[in-house]
Amino acid sequence: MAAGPAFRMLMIAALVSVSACGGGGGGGGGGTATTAVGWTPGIFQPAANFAGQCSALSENNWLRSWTNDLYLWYDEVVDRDPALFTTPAYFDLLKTTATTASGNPKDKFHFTYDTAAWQALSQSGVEAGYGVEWAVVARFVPRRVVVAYTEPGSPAIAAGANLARGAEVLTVDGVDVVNDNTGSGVDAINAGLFPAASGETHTFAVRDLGAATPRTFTLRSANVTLSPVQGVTTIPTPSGPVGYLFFTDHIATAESALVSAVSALKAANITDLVLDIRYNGGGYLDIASELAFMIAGSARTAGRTFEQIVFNAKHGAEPPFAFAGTTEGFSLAAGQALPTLDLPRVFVLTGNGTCSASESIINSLRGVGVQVIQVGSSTCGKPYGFTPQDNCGTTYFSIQFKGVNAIGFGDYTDGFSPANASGAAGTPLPGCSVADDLGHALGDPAEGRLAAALMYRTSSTCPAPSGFAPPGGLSGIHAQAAPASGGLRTKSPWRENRILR
Amino acid sequence: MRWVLLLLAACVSAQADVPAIIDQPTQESRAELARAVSRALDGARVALADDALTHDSLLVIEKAQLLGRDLDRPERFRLVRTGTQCALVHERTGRRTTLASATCLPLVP
Repeated sequence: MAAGPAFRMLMIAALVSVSACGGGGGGGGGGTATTAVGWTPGIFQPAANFAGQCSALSENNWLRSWTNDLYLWYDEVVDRDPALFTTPAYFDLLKTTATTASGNPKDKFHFTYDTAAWQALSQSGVEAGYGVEWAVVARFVPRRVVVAYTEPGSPAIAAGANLARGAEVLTVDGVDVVNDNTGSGVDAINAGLFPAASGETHTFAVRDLGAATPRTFTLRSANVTLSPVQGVTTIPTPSGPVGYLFFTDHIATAESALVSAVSALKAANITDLVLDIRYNGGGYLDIASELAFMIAGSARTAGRTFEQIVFNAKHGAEPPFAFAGTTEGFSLAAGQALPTLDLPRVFVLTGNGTCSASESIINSLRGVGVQVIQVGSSTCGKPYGFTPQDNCGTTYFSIQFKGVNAIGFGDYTDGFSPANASGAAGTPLPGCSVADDLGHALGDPAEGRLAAALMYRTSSTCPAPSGFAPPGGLSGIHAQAAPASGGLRTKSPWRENRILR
Repeated sequence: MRWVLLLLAACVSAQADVPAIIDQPTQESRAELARAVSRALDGARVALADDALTHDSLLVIEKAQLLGRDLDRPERFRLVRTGTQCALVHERTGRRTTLASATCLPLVP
């Protein structure tokens, strides 16, 4: 089938394109086609035939073939003539248009990245910023941007700034964060909230939690080292101590931090664990596996699958990921036995920033019979992953695999939702729908979500449901797969946290 | 004399690596460290904390932006002191880079 006239024509065109590009190769991109490449619907040459050629047409042909080979739902993509579109427009069309039962798009994660930016490296947990995570409660005017949490030792908590959870940002560099809806105003707000590099100075007016009047100060960005595990505490209750663990990022340094935290909680003989992953957008899947193992223990996980990666029908499945019983060598030496809590259930505090590897913790524990009680709002719904691919200086992210648990479940495209959240589309879990309580410190037993978890633990009852997303579904700190126009990114493209007009 | 020099060289090379940390980093030593890490990783752009390797002899490098469900592994480097020399060792490849502008102290456990 591949040796027909269409194939020969494509090969000739490819050679012409290589010549026109000065030999092809990566970098640059964005050229125009020098020779028309024939398109035969349903016939796909290997993507390698078009790689590195960098004309718009060869880039589109490469995307078309790459998608047909590796995209998870390749058979739901309408095959269109690649000569008729710009590359960005063509890539946008190379995905399924199917919706979930709730009417949401089945594919919410389809984007590109400049390759040089994507390949940039950092010391684990180091990023340019102030050390503050903003909760963008309302992205459109009247906006509301509030401090969700801060990093220890960062500019955000240094004298002068003293930022703490609940402080609301009123102006950035003199621009009204709440009401300014001009393009230049939005740009200025984003530039101030999300500095692109260390050494930037911006002026903020904020109103601290409980304060009547605002205050003004300047913040200078720096290379801040994130602490992925904060707030490990034990809450005494009449039925035994309850552990609380605030976990924000599945980065390499989380391995040692989680081992230390779980060791401390084990030493405290906790009877239950509240795992706060409301702002945790994921990261290394191995870290999720380690934490799930530490929660469930070896008896429940021995010989069981943590997650199996399933590709499209052309590529099948990889051998399952087992629960990691030992350290994997991320920030500790590999092969050390992990401490375990051996819990039959866990409470998770979630929001729409709870995504990907964080959802794997929930799903994998359910797969081995650990009861997961969810308090908060629906998770983001990303049982999927990518193998990003560069071509001509752009790295493409197109969903290529799905993760399923030990009982073969991975269909939570609408996330997980507390069972009492009426109208929520996610896979229902026992628990309570509770809004993010920015009026209390994280780990404070009076904080809304933690308080509800403690209440449910005692009485299996919930406060009145409150964890709904406002219109547009953009409550909480991380919006889902925000459009690629305007604004700046935080750590990951699926953790978009932009201010929009 | 030649034998003495050879003997000294043998002693130096036989000295064991001791886990180390950087003492009082300077702009120059930070830049040299960043260059060494970048070179070991195919010239990629690398952001390091100003206090990198000043508290721990392990330096873990990962993508600046991890995937939400990331199947990769980070790169690990160890700072060691051999005699008076300070070197950065890339664990995966064993590649060793002497850091001429950094002052190292043995890491006290």
